[in-house]
Amino acid sequence: MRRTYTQKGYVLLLSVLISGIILAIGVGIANITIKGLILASTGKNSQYAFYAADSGGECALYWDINGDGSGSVFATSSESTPPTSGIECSEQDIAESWNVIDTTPTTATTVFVFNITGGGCTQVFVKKTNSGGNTDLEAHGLSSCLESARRVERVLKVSY
Amino acid sequence: MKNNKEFTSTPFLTRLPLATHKVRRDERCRGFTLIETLVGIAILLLAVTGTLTTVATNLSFSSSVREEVTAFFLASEAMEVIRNTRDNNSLEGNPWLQGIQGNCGGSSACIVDATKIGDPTTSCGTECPNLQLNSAGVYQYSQGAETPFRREVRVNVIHPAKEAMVEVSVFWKRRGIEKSFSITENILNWQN
Repeated sequence: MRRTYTQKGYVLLLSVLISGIILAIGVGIANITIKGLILASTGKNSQYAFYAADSGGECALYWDINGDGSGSVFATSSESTPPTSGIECSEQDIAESWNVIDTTPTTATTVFVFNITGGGCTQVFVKKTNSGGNTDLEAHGLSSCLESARRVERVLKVSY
Repeated sequence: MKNNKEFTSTPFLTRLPLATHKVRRDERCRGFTLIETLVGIAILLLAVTGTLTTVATNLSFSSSVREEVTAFFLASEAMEVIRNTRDNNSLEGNPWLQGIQGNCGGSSACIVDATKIGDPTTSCGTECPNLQLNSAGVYQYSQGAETPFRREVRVNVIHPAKEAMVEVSVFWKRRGIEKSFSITENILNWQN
């Protein structure tokens, strides 16, 4: 009698244990898939950010190398007077809102921002010296203009 | 020890009702194993169906993730080919949008074949064909099985001598639902 008494609930216990193991396997697989979905979404945003950064870089290269007819449009020192309009990228006048920061008598950095038509933003830093030395260009591409936890930023640096 | 003592001291007749009572209690418990088994099976069924559904959904998700990753690499490839064409034009002294504007810049989109460097673009007309996958695992338009991916490139010339907006879209169908991925980049004529 006592033996049967101790075996009561055994099947129930076993089934709960087995279900627990099966559910744990299920949760493990779901976890892998969630990681896959995050990877796909990050990959997508990374592409947007990369091409935003590249568009910013192209814009800065064009206006630095070709200029507006009288050489580079970007500031080279605290003395330089960059144009205040007429510098267009992606149909937006970047000169209207650009800032010249970190100015010294020999160097200056121009910062400008513009939106990409397909979504995304780019912020470009162009550091130039007035003695015809190196230009350091840094284009920060953002996958979205709005701040969010999933936003991806990619940066391209060009020195010449 | 205490039980044994009680057992020996109890007269036989007085023990009888207790014995019958015990048997009755066991009879009441007899159905328990069946109920227990049924509940056990129910719990197992719940766990198994739940997990199987999760596994099935996960399998479909992971193949959709694979398609998405393929789509964004395909889009990236087309963009690289357009940029390569622009760079080649500059090196060869051609007009900067030669081979790009003519086929992709009009009202219809164009397709880009990365295996045909030198002249990669073809105008689509009404609808672009789907990409094909050859035995070497390369997506192109001349050989191999047709894939579910359709890639369109559109070039919007913002300023003929200066700037163009390139838009690459990849479309595919998943269980009857049209999916797409597109990237946009502005290219400028800074190399001339």
